[in-house]
Amino acid sequence: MKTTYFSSILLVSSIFLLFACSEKEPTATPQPRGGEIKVHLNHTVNGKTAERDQFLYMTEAGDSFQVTLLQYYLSNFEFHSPETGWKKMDKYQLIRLNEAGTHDFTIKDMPFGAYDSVRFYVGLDSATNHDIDKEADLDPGNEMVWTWNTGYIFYMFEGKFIDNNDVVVPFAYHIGMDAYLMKYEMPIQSVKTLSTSATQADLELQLEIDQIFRSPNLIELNTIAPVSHTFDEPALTTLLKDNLLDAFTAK
Amino acid sequence: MKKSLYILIGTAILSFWLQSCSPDDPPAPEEGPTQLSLEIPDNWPKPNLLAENQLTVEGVALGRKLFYDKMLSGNGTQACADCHNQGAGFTDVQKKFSTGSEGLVGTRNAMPLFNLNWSHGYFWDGRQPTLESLIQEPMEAHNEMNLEIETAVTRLQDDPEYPALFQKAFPGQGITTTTLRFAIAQFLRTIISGGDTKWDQYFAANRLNPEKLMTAQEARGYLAFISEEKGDCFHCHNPLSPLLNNTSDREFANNGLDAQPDSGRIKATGNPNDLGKFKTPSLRNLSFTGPYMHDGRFETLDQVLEHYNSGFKYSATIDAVLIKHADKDNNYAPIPRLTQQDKDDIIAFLKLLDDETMLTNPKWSKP
Repeated sequence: MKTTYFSSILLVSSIFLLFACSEKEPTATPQPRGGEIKVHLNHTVNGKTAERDQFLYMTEAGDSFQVTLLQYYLSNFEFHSPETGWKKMDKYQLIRLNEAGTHDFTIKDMPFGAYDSVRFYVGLDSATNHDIDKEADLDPGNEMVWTWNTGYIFYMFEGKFIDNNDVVVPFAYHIGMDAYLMKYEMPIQSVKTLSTSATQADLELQLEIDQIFRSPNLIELNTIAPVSHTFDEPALTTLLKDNLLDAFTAK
Repeated sequence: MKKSLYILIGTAILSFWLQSCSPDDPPAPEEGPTQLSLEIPDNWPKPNLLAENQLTVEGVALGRKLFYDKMLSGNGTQACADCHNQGAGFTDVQKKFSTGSEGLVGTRNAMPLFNLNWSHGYFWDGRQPTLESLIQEPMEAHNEMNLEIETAVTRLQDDPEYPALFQKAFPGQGITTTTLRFAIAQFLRTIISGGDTKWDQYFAANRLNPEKLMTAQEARGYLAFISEEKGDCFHCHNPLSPLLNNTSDREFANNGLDAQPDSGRIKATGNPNDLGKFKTPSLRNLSFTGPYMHDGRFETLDQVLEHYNSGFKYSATIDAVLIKHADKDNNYAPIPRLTQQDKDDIIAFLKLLDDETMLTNPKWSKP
């Protein structure tokens, strides 16, 4: 009897030992419930990949110019599919032309669907624009804030052009303030399908930098103020903003 | 007998189980330097530290001793601290250019040494990427300390005190050009100015309208500072950044000092667009760090402000912020916009950024 008793203890201990430290019991592999869209920003000038600090480009009006600095916020992404309708995603990103690492970001937790259109802002919604205590891309240390009262600079574009007297003149167009938030909605040229068998898709957003001077408002750099910080040049800022509304395509 | 055997086996299995699932034994504490955390004020940006040079109590203490040691000059008459005086915000007291250990005069104004963890390039033209790489140059320059760093290492190795101090700070690494540079850099990284000034207190209390806590003149100065039409200072010295200088797009800028600039950041990058660009300095501690600009050309803050008001000169790389205040029908000559009262007001505001505690803090004084 006693032998049986100790045998039982030994058996129980052995079984306990065998299973106590084992990995978690294998379970059925969970099916992904959503996917992600990897966004890549492609910046062009005159139809070619943008390069900084060189007089390589002409505006539509014939001004020779170069790009020295471009940085801007993308935010409030929404994606449309027949299955989900418009799906809003909580994502903002500060893009810096001179930092390639900022040209790629991922929008996660996307429901499955065939996404055929995208909406986003260049800039930040009013609540975000005037909130303080921000970190990461919204850290004021990124130097994309004028003051807390005026909010963030949405689109900071700087360069140089050669004026009518052959003088090299720097320009700086900083667009911000709630009234100049740029809202986009466009078709995605190649539908992005997310499903259990395809949980990742790549979306390319192309920004034609020179569009800011092209249309519908043809801008001659010689005839406008070389510097605008929005509130000092509201009429010019409106022209630039209207042009930028045609500057993005989604592929 | 059988019973004993079962008990023995059962106990062994139980013991094995108990031990097999227990966490790893904590390793025996290692002898080594004590890690040091920087004392950074709240809401400051993340510092740029060098992963290979972790700060330690022993490393910082060693760096401090070296910073004040005249042994690191060729003829033993000059220490780093002689041109970077704590009482002058770690600049050379009211000197346009510093005089080296051999009596030769330099060509750049000695830069203030504080808040160095937030730079992306050192010296006025940013030619050195890290603090650790910066150290060697002034030590070896003939018009500065005039001592080859290898000779400095030999001197330190022969010294009765330093070998033990290096062993404590960098166990097993000895005294090398690397550990010498790393130690001084560690000390410099601890010099942080901010958080205690009147400006920091006002800004922490009311970020939207800090001017409400200032005197009438200081408030006028602050509002002129952030006004596009008046001072327009904030593009390069953003008061929302606790450093009061840009550390990204305008970390180096051409502020119109010369019509034909011949130096600047271009010497570091080779980029023609960097001609005439120099480091945008912090506006903290201006009362102690004059004269101003990379060549110390301005003795007073009033002269500095007058430069931005009526003195800047056009060149192809001048910052666009200044072009806004230039007359394009007159060769981009400045359009003056500041009255004497405006300048006095702005200077009153700037004095809120003085951190007098830094000048006497014993942590950074001669050991």
